[in-house]
Amino acid sequence: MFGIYFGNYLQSKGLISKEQYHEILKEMKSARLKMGLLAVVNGLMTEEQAEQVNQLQQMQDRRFGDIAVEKGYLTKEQVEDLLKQQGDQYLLFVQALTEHGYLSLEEIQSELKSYKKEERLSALDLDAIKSSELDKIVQVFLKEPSIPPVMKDYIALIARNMIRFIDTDLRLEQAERINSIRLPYIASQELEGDFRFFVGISGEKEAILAVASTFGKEEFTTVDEDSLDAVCEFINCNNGLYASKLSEEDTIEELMPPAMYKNNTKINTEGAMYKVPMYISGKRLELIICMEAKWQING
Amino acid sequence: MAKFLIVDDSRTSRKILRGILEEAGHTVVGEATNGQEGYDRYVEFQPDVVTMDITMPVLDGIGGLKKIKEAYPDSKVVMVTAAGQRNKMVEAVESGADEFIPKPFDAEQLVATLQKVIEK
Repeated sequence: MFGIYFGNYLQSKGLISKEQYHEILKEMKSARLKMGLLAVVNGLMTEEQAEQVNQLQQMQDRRFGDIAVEKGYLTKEQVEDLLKQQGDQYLLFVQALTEHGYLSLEEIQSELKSYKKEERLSALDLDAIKSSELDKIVQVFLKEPSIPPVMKDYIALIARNMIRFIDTDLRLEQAERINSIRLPYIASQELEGDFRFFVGISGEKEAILAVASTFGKEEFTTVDEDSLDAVCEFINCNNGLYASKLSEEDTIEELMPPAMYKNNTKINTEGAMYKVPMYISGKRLELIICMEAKWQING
Repeated sequence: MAKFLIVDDSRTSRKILRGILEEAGHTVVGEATNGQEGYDRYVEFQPDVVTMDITMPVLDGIGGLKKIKEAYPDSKVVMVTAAGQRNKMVEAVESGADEFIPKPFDAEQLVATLQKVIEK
């Protein structure tokens, strides 16, 4: 994950080319081993146990290690050890940059300082990005103080599922508070219950098609009813996991049928609405979320 | 091999489910996009098993399940749920749902669950 953020910065500065950036990311993807595979190879779990944990992961928004510990297949110490074996993404990225001869160590250190300054990151923020732990990274981009904690949880969940179901090349930008937005199209769903909640996904054609094609297991070429239906299904599955998590805390949320809008849609709210830019393989998506406020959709 | 009716408002879900069922050697005799249409198609096709999404417009999956079970107590209806619809799941069990399959679909698990329902 560190490579996606810092690599994008280096690319935007013209210090590495798009091709070099993708080459390094590809190398890093193959360097990062799956937890289940590592556990089996280390003789800590059987293949059946790993498969069972993978299946449970499909139904619950929890990490492989947490489920394996709960099932008694791994200890917390073993999980920590396996995480280390997965590789330090920061060091792997730095190593790749130097080994390919794209940048020297001194240049990397200097660019890291510029990156921190330009992106207005604190030392803790940069540590979070270096850690490559998604939950920590997401918090770096949710600095807007009015975002409620339950909404932060939701954004973290959708980011995890983007990586799990759509594309590991996911990068967030700073969330923004807005009152109104006009979008060419949006796939959405509302939740009702202890609080009202609206979530929608819009974005560049290529990004929408990437979500639709990957999740819908079908090659889409235009943003139409069918591709937006697949994005709606992705949102629906996310919201199911979110509602499931809330129900453990005795908060009841009911999923409404997903809805799509295709005609230059305008969304207004009297309260707070948030726009979270998410890039998958460099293409921009916009996550629109509204909670505890009245909203109006025209289009 | 069994005859299936797929009831889901999402084209994506219907398509993926149809692919998994046909790959497993089953036949999909019909599709519907809400509970009412699902009931109508059930009467028309008399399938061995119905897969019924819960969240749908017009008449939701619980409504569709109740209608089918009331008219055809021996019918087999499997509810399709996005995780988290616990209240709805309790209501579905009380209304006679035979099984649940979670979204997103895991082909192997889905086929095994449906096989159990077929053999019931």
